[in-house]
Amino acid sequence: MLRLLFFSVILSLLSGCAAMKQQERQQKFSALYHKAQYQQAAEFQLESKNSQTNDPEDLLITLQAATALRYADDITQSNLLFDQAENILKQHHQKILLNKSVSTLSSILVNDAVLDYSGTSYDGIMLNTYKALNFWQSGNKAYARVEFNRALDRQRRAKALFKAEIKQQQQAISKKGGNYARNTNNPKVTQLVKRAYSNLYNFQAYPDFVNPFSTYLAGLFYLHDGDYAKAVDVLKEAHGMLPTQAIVEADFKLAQALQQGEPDPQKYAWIIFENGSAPLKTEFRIDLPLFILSRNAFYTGIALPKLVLQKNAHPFLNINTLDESSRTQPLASMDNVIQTDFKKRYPWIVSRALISAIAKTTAQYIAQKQLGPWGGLAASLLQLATTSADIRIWSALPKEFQIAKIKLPSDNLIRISVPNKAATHIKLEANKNQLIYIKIPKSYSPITYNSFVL
Amino acid sequence: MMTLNFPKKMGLALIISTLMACSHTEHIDVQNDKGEAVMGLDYRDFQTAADEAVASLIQSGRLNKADGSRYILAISRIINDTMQRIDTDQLIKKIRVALLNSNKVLVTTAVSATQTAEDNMAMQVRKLRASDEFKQSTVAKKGQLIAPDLSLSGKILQRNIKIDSDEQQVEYYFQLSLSDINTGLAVWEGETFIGKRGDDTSVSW
Repeated sequence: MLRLLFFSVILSLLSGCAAMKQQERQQKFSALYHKAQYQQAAEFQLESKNSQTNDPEDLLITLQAATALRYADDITQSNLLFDQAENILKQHHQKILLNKSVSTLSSILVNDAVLDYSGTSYDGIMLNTYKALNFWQSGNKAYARVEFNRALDRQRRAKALFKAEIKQQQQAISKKGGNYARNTNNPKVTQLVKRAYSNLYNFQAYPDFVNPFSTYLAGLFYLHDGDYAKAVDVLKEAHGMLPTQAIVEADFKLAQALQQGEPDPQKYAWIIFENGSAPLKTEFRIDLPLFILSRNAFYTGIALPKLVLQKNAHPFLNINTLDESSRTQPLASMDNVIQTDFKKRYPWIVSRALISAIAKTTAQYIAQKQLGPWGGLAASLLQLATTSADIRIWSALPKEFQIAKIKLPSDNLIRISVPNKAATHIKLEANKNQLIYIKIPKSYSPITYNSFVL
Repeated sequence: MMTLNFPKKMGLALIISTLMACSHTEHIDVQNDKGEAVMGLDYRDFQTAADEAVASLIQSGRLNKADGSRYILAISRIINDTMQRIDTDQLIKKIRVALLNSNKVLVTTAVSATQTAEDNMAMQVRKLRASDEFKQSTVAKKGQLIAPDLSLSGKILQRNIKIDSDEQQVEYYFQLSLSDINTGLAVWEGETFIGKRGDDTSVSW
């Protein structure tokens, strides 16, 4: 027993090392990414990728690298990696839905952070959206349509996936017996967590698991692919999610007009601005009451993840042409999508951490009783080393999406500037609808953009 | 020389046979393929959709010209509105082959819905009219290309429906329209439905 314990301590210290390395990698990637050194950021990320394709360990690495390559303008490689990410995501989701996931068992013994990153619903939706954009940008509308269709289907499926995850969780808890159920259903726990992390409970959530950006963009695509009936349906849905967004409403009306056969002589440039960076996750420790062997609860330290929202890169972008001046306005908040998902999952995350603490504290109690103080010390070291939260997240996503729509000016020139800075001049194609996609992850990041005819 | 005793020989034989069993390949009997159906689209689905479309089209009698001559058909856009990365040419090729074999239609490869023709050689060769290197009597003459009378367009749709917590239904609709280019009216329309029901453990692609 003693030998086993020490072995476990070493093993867990090693797993702690792995988590630290992961965090270091995240920081180094972000440093390059925020400087708009997208190619280098991707290459750095891919250094840690396993040589085997579709390795279940590689989901996050692949997503991060594929996103960076998209902004490095290496569209082919970006989509190759997004395809791999989609295959890995499928493996993970299949396991969850087939109820074969080992996650509940093995993470109890250590923690969530040692499991493979298995992806969220919005990860899937965004990966298909980015793939669609990549194909659209490279002129492959047939494949872009397939990817937009997939993104919309994922929104539909998200609820089912979430239900399956919860069911699996509940089954695992009920199999473990009364003590676990008693601890995970303790209202005091919920109350304490709510107090320690009140931000999670104070924001205007989107409807469950939808990403209005993906829905709107899909609608915009169908509109420009001449599929007006579908464009009307999808843009109507986007308008419903974003009732105060004037451009979404105007595009919905445009789709309706075109469907009724009205002429469309006016050409526009749509400007999409990926502003800021997605939230990061950090760990916080909280003392929560646990019932172990006695009737009295005692408090034990538990590690939980917390979202840390990042700042906007800029409040808006100025858009100037010969004929008009405007600025970008909020379209959809990725922060909000991520928070909605995280909030939904949070009770589950807390339960898992509790179960893990129960298992470890029980082991500590037994070790102390059977092996004396040294055994107890080893077991408590084990608990200390393995109590950590899963703080992995697809950080290459933006904080929010902004939008502007301008009539094509007579000189086909558009000037885009961040407040109080020199403008970037972009030459537009004459007499064609087009989209300018802008990425600025931090206030100090240079502007990166690509533009293409719709 | 090393000799193997009986149990060793048996063991070796077992290993070899296991290895052989691992690399398993067989030909598909396309007339009678009992292979497991997939939620996506496979060649059997294209075959079914093409067969049904051609049978319906020929049966409709719309391809019978009064004077017994043949219609000229152009292939327009076939939209893939599914979640599968499929090549719509796979479907159309089967239809074209069957229609050509019916002897009622000729398909033009010199015109297409996109800006470039399916086979742009017809136009390329005409550029040789300016070249002294070519015997001009062998270069295609002006006013010889034949414009199409009919156009074939269509869409492949996919609808995913959740049946219960474990099952999903994936529906594919192969919709085709044959239009009279002169009048813009559809002279024939066909829809083939292919439905699949399976477990809901993953996305349908």
